[in-house]
Amino acid sequence: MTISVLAQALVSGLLNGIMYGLLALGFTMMYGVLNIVNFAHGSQIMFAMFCTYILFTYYQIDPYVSLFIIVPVSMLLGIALYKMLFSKIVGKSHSTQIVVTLSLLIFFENAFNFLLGGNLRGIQTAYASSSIILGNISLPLARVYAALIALLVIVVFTVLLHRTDFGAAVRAAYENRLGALLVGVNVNRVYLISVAIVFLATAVYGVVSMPYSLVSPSSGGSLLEMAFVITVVGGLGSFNGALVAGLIVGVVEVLSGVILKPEFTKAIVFGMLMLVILFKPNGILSKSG
Amino acid sequence: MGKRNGFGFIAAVIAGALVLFALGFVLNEHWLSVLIVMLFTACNALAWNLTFGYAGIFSLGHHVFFGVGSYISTLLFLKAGISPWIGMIAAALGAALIAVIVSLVGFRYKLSGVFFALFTMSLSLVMASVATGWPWLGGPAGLLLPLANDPANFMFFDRKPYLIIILVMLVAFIFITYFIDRSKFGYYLKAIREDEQAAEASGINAYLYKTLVMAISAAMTGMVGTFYAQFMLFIAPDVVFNFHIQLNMLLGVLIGGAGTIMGPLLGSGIFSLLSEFLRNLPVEGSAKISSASLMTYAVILMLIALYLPKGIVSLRLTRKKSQEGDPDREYENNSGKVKTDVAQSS
Amino acid sequence: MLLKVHDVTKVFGGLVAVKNVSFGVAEGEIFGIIGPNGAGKTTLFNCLTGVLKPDGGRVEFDGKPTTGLPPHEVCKRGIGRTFQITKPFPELTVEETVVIGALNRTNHIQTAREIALDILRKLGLIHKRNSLGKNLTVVERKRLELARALATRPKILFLDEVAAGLNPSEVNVLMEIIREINRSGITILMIEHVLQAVLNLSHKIMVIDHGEKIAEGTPQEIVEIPEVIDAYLGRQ
Repeated sequence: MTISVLAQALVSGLLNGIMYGLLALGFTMMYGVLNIVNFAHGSQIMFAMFCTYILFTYYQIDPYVSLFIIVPVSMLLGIALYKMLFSKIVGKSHSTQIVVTLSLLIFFENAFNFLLGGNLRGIQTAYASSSIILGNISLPLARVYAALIALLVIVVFTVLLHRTDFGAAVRAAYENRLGALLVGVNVNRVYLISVAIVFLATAVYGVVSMPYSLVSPSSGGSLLEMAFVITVVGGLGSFNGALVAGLIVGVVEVLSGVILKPEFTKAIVFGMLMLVILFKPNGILSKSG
Repeated sequence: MGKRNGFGFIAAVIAGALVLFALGFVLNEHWLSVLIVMLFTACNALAWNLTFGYAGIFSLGHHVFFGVGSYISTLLFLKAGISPWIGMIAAALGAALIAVIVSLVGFRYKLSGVFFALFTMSLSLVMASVATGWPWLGGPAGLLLPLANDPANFMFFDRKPYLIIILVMLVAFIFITYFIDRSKFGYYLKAIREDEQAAEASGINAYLYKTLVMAISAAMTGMVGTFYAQFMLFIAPDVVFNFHIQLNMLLGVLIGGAGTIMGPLLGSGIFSLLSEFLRNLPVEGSAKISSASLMTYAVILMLIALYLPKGIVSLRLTRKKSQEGDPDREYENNSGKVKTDVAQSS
Repeated sequence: MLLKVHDVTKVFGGLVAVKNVSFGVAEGEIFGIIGPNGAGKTTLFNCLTGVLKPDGGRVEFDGKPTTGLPPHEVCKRGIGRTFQITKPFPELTVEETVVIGALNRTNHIQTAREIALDILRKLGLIHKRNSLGKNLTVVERKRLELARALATRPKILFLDEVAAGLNPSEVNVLMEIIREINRSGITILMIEHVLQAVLNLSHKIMVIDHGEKIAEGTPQEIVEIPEVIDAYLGRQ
């Protein structure tokens, strides 16, 4: 185990971690603002990946270009789904929400299956195999681009949350829905825009990860699993927690793959989740145990 | 719920089982397999129904019991030559043991709702990962069982014995549910589901009862896991620890109606019909038909979840319970549990 | 003394909710606990019934220590309780709810059902036996709460503000029911805010303010004590 291997793992882990932060952000927003446990979160990302695949394979559109098509489409989808579905489950019991969003997951999964079948699909862009070399560390270009774009989204989001009126409204609705209503915050509008933002985040994630990932009908489920880990470790509903947890999980995942066997990474990651749930259910950043 | 219904119910169940058994002589190999898949899916649903429908425990990791059960009996057979009939009992015990540990840990730390669900889900992912990475457990390629006709070792060329076995299991599971429903145990579970604090104040040791029902449910699921292994002759981590197994349990119960006996049977029956039956039609593009029908199913599911939260069984108005025109409204449970919409006992 | 409470204390972070409270309840008595809102009465109840673990002090019931026992064990020992905000079983019928209480002392459903129906008759809920918990009115819920606790065959019944939210005639009916229950041999410990009710009913009263006992005595004695008047009126 040399320093350079460790360094490589660390940097890769951090790159993944930034992506995970973006992944968790969307899920956390749904839970934190609308109090909805959204089992279709991963499926939304899968939708974007699917679109990226189609646009590239049949229309030769580069992913970073189709970003500008898919993000708006995804946001429109989000708004439609909000009106038809999410708005109806806002106050309902968690088990109702889970059944409804799970049904959405099933819908997406089978739509994918219907259109493309069950095999894994990927795209091969020109820069897919290029890497940036920094000393002893080699980083795939596609992953670097993805992390940078993700970082941009995260930064813009954070600024939005803390520096704008809308952000204040979101934070108000998140803290206290009734209170926000009484103060004149248009909670429904806040919810609608929040959902749109969530679908923006999932679209970005899906598109920029396509150059180095494979997608299949079951991608929705696997992405959801990771979203769970990160959001719970970061503290359900905590934006900062989600970002920090993303980095931690990203690094832990890569390190455990390097130190142990790659097959055991899931065991380590989810074992970690189990410990967090038991001892620090409000997230590792929280004070209560 | 009185004794008057008792014999009628038992008779109806046995009659139904006999009808299905008769089907075994009419259907060809292929469709018989589909029927068997539908039946063990129903068994799983009944098992999950005990924890969620009766005790209100939302577990999203029940498939861990299925997977562990299948691995225990298969490993005992392949490595030690122990008959899977005995292996099935070991599977039940092993799964129950895991359930007890999960419960002791989970309930002691007062995990509830989403957290308990994620805790159990994580456990299955950990198990699947371990099974994938440990060569002795077969690794990602899994374990193969030999094809042979060896009744003493739970192996048959013909499908019909499997049909009989799964029917026996299904009937047994139905009766277990039925007897629990009418017993003190069942009453106590329902009390825990409705309001754990009030239940405890009424003398109920919630911790104990929840652990017990988890163990029973896990044992049942574990046994189905063994059946699966013996029927399919192949198990692998991404097959037996697959979330779809849990999904089927969950959706079957919630759509059919949790906390009832007919509910899980109805729900899983419909789901199996749509996925298994349609997928196996000897039609061109049957996989597409199956996918399309599942998409439709998903939409129907959403509608039911939104507008018929008690499941399909609630469509039948029973004379006993007075409806009083009160629309189903959410009951806010302050203890932070997964707030549930659960059908009343049948 | 059926119930002996010695120096029970409960602290939440920096706040002392209950401070060195001591009192005793004699068998067959109706003992009232009164005090301004937030005085710590329900917290005290929760410490005595196992919902909370006291940070200090001892509780002895029927000659045996019960400090820190879990709620179900406390119930088995003979302490029944109702909740301030009623906790019916929403999806279970009235009959099933009381049967569950009765199962505290028997394993036979049939026996439990007989006990349950008897109690429902006595409390005037028999006509609602098949109604679901969630469909009951406030008054019915309070009766159900009482019925369920009675079904557990307690030696002492802890009542937490049973009269809250009821109009004066409903209060009178309820008080009569409680008197009947007491006459049948069950000791009563009641937290009550509706003074008219508790002063008429109780044999002894204890006054709690800011988590501490500030007075104890008969109803007649209590109303004269200046600190008590202060605690209630001084706040208004």
